[in-house]
Amino acid sequence: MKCESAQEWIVLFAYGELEDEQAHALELHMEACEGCRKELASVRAMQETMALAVVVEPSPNLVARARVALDEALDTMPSRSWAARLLDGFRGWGFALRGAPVLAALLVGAGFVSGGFVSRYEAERAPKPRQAVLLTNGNGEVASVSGVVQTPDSDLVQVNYNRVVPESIQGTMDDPQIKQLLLLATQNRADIQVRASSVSLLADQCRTGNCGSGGIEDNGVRKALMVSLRYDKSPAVRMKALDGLQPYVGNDRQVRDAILDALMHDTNSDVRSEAVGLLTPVQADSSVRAVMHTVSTQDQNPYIRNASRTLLEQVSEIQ
Amino acid sequence: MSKAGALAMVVGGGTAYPIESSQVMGKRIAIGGTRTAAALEEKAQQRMEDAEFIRQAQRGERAAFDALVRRYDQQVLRLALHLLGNEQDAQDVHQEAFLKAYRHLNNFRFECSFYTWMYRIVTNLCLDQMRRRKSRREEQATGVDASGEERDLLATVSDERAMMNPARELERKRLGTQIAAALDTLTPRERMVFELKHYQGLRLRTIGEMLSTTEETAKNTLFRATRKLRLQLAGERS
Repeated sequence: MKCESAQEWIVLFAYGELEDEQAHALELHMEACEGCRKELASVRAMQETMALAVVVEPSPNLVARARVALDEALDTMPSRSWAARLLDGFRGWGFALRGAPVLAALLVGAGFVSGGFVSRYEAERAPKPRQAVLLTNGNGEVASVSGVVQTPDSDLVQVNYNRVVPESIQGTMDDPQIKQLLLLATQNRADIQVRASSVSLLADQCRTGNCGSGGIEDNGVRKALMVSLRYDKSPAVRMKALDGLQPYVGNDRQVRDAILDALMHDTNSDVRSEAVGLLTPVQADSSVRAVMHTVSTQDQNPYIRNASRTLLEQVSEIQ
Repeated sequence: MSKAGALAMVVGGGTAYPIESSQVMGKRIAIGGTRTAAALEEKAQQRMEDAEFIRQAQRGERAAFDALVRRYDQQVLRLALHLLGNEQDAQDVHQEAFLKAYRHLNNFRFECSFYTWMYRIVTNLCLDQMRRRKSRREEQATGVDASGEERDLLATVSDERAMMNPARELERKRLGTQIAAALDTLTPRERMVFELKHYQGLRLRTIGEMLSTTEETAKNTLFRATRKLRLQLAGERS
């Protein structure tokens, strides 16, 4: 092996990009060649120095700000028309398309009007938030080792690692920081307790009417609950999320759709039966009825089939 | 705050926070180059779940898109923050990248992973920003964070021990300047390849995919970058 071609191999070697055979050939070459050994040492030194510019995790504040801003932007995006999306949705439910768009338009209109009233009322009654208190521990622990590097000197090993600093914060649910942290917590895949507690707290807020359709953050809470309802692995967490969304079935179409989706697809029968119960206020809606129709014949659980059939019959009686 | 190692610097305005295991997709593979079966399996699992979310999002389900965003947005911020050095720019990239993804989601045909697709968008946006800076000859060492304070790109985090050891503090500042100067000699593309290889631990083949080029080109870019950095660092010392 020539030293000129070894130069590039040495860089690849230092970054773990050489095939085992090539790495072995290079190692053999370096045993005999001091120049190349020095070259590798020099590359390692550069890596060490550059590694000092550690990659830091974005702060929860930054993450929260970014999410809120993105949410806002997505909400105001002129995406595909509601009619096109509605059609797609109905296609999935096998529903006849004739009368639906008109009814949907009326419901959407009603939703906007009632939402407007509610937000003004809520804004007047909103309590002033208290300042959150930071309780910080201080010492960082080693969280993970990100790399183990063999150096030419067989006695020395280089270990790259990340240190993280746990922090605690205490405050009321009105505090935006606390709220944002709780929203983040709902996505903690590793720890079900963290998810359960955070979803529970947020759901309780929603149930007591403390996340109306006014603030952007409150929208984030509702969305987080919808995501948890559809995608959380634990049925208990999904139930709790469903619970929190109940007040919005009537006036938020996205919530209603999410609950309908849960009714159609959730694997847990308790969640599905809870969902049926929540849909009573909107039982007359044609898209809801379409889903009820399917569920009344196709759900595996007899109670659920019965409950949806009853709802359908109630409506026909009214009419 | 962050105390990674004795002489570590903090790049950008953030402090280190625990990484959720589910969020660490671009896993830093040990420099030895091995991949465990478990890591590969988790990757496959992630891809499958992503595919399902994407399909639902393509049908118009906003909740599915939100779930997709949640899986990747911290990584996106982390990358942009390290490359661009301040929170505002990182947030701008985050916003633009996910809006772009939302707008073009129906163009995603599953020919690559969503992860690669997303990173392609993010790296392009970062490259644009880096090129804009270079052409405006902006001082690359300063960035403004959300509170409006001007911050040194490689500002050290205040540490009680730093007060007690001013000599070490000086050494940290000197190294910080040195590193910033070295990175400044790289072209935006070289900086990007170096970032993805050295700091994010991605394989050159993946880097090629993300930058819409070949592995060979990525390799050559890496060689140029490391050569420049070594020259710059050696020059400073002597």
